[in-house]
Amino acid sequence: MTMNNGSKKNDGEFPDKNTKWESIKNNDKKALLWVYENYAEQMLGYGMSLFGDREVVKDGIQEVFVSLWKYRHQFQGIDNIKAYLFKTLRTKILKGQQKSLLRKPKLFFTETTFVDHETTIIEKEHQELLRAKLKKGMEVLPPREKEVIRNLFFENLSYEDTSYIMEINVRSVYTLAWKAISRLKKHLHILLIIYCLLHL
Amino acid sequence: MDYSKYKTEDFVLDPEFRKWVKDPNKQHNLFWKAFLEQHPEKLGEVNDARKILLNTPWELAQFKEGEMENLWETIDNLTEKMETLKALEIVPINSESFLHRTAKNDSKQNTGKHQFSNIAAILILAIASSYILAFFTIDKNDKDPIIPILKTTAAPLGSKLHFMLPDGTKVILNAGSDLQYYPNFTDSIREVYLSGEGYFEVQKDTARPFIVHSGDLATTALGTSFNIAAYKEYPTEVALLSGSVKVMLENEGKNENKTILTPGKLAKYDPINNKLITSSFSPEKVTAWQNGTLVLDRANKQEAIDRLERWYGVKIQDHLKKNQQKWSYSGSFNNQSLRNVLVVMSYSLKFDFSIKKDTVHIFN
Repeated sequence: MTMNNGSKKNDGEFPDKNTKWESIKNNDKKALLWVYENYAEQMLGYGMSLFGDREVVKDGIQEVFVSLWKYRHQFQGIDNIKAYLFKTLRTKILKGQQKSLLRKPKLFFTETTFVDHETTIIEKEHQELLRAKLKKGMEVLPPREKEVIRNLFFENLSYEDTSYIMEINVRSVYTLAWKAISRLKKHLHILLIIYCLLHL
Repeated sequence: MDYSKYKTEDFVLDPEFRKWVKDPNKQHNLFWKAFLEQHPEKLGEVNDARKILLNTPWELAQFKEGEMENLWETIDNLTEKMETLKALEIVPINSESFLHRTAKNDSKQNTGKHQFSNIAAILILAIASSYILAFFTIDKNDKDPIIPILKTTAAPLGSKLHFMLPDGTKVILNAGSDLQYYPNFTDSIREVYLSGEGYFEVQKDTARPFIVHSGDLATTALGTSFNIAAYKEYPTEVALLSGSVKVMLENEGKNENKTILTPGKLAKYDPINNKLITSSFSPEKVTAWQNGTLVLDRANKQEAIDRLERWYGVKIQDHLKKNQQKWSYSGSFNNQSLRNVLVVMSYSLKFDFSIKKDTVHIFN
């Protein structure tokens, strides 16, 4: 069993991000715009998955960038812009809202996506069903577990980044992820039996 | 690593396993094939792990059209306002204008965000100290109410004009263009009114945005250089050379009618649809007039005549037959006499001309 993610390189990170960070410190508004253009939509997706309220998330994004500018001279070295932005967004929204909002499971998915991959014919036959089942599974997942696996599997963030964003230790990240997968797995099997019964 | 003891959960959480599922290559395939041949009892668990990794739906949120730009505009405005308030901490010499400015900012603040409230304390302090300052420095000038007089600087037909505004902004006006402004920019903004064509190198002053009103457009800049062509007969164009400017329509404040230009981009007013169009431009062509180069770019007859009339300060009488109406003339003339330009043009466009004092006749 391994705890380190190994892949330090994250999708959606950009090679010249560190120079952009420096430029912001040097009062370059264009660099702020660059960060906005490259991360705002990812932040929207992340925020929406947590809170589901578009306006709340947009207000949060706005606050993140305004305070980024406001406190630009006080930054220490930030090695992962994405993790930093996600954490700040999360904190800003939580500060404005009741903590309970995060714990309230959302019942409906708005738009969803899947990671593209090649499938065999047999897999394809079951894919629709599989996805429907996992979607159901995700809907009833406790929010923190959902957040952990989203960060790890969809946002491609490391255990360390996830622990930093959610302000929990790495061990808890791992435990939550384990629980989430366990639930999804059970969901997969229970429903498969029901499915088989229905189609006998 | 002993994969034989792995459960579904372990497989999902294993970065190597994830790599194989999401981004398989030959090496990965060989490894996992060998593993499953050795441990066929693990096939079910591996399969479940794979299913979970590949078929879990992720919520995807995307910005709707214009949503991202609008949000940025809010951020941009808030951060600009922040800079303005920061600059206000310095007590200005003219207390009256300061109070005016403060009142303005206060009213804006009410509708704005709470993060500015902590600046209120600083403002109160500043207001108090400016009162004290005013109390000790009362003189006759301070009591006289300042009545702003709109000043006009014009470049006559046939010649360009270089000058500097009171705030240090460099302006070059093209022939036949004029600029109106209030000589002392004591307010919180610097506003000028352009008719014709002008080039601006705006003096940096974050506390007072520089706004050029021209035809149908208003261009807002902080410290930057740009060219505006706002001739009555043609749609207004704003071309940005460096820095950043915001261009918006004068008639209404709708979001669709605002755009933030990046260097090398040009905003043009489209009067038919009443909106802004952005495109790229060639800096050489746009700024050529400042170096005495007259550039005609696929100009039709009316446009060419207009340009020549303004550039040389002459009147052109058109006696051409109707079949010679369609011009699409391109050419650039660096510090050439009117006669030379007409010689070149008449050769390719096949017309004759005569120059009598300030009037040019063109005919077949």
